[in-house]
Amino acid sequence: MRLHSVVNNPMLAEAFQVQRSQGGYYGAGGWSDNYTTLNYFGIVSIADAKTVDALPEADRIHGAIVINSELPLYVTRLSAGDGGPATSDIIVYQGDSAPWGKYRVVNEGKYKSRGFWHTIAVWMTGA
Amino acid sequence: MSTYPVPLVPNNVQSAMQLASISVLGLPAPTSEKDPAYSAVRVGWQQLGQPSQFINNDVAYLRCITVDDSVNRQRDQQTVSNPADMNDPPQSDLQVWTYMRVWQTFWEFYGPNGFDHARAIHSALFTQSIHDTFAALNLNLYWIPDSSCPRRVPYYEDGQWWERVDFEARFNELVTETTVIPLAASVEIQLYESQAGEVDDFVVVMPGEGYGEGEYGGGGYGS
Repeated sequence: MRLHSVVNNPMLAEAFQVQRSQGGYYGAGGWSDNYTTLNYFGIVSIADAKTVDALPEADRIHGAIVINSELPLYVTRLSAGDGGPATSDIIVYQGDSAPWGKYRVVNEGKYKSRGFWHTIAVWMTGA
Repeated sequence: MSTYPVPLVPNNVQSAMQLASISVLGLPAPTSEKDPAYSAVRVGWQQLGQPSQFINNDVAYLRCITVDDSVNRQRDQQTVSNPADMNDPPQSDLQVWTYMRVWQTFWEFYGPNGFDHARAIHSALFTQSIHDTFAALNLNLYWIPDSSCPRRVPYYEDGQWWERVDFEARFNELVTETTVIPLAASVEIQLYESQAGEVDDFVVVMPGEGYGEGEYGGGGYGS
């Protein structure tokens, strides 16, 4: 069963933006990244207690969201195509200022065979 | 204009350690911001993290912190004339504080050759070249010859054992801080006795020639 029609259902899904690293580099003094902004569509939900419980302690403080989308969202990876290594996607949900804001992808569920991706992202307070 | 060295911040020390490590490991000196040598010696604690490496890549990570040490608590202070004050007589002095700050650098080596890379950097600390590298970078940084031995600490992650070797070293930095302190041009002093009332009234004025370098005495006082 392919569920992409469910995660794209306008009754449930909404628009958000993704800041995606195009591949960075290790330079003098540290890592430098290069982001581009993409428009996305998917179902955004507040992470439930069990999902939040699976995250590292420091990321529980201000909550997390779960996103089900047809297009993939990425965690930090060693290779982003021709761009080299890249850091996690950053979700911009309902504007980038509080009480909403930016969320960093910390877990990706690759349900490619079922037509969707299941992603957990944590709130980047102060970003 | 003060000629005292600017206190270091973590980015100064980390960048110096990164360059020194690249040199010791025999990698070509970086010629651009994206030079692959920087990928072989990386700096930790990046704001959004950084991608790791494959298990067979030889990669070192370094991090720098300051640490508590009894030598931190000893401070020398002297007052000198303010070279930036062009007034005659001068209207300010410079209070100069100096103390020793201790930096600690942690190296973590990954990959099949990490153990030998740790040995190479550990041994290089005993050589003149590291001292000269820091001097060339204009850093007031001096190795404390008491570094820990590299330790092999393989760990289990993502379903496999990763080779890792750690060691750390400490460095002294002579920190100089200055504060501009204002000077009084003159002070009126009135002396009173309980019975006789005022017995004297005089003004102490700013000394002229020969003032400074911690000397508050000398000529120029008068009533």
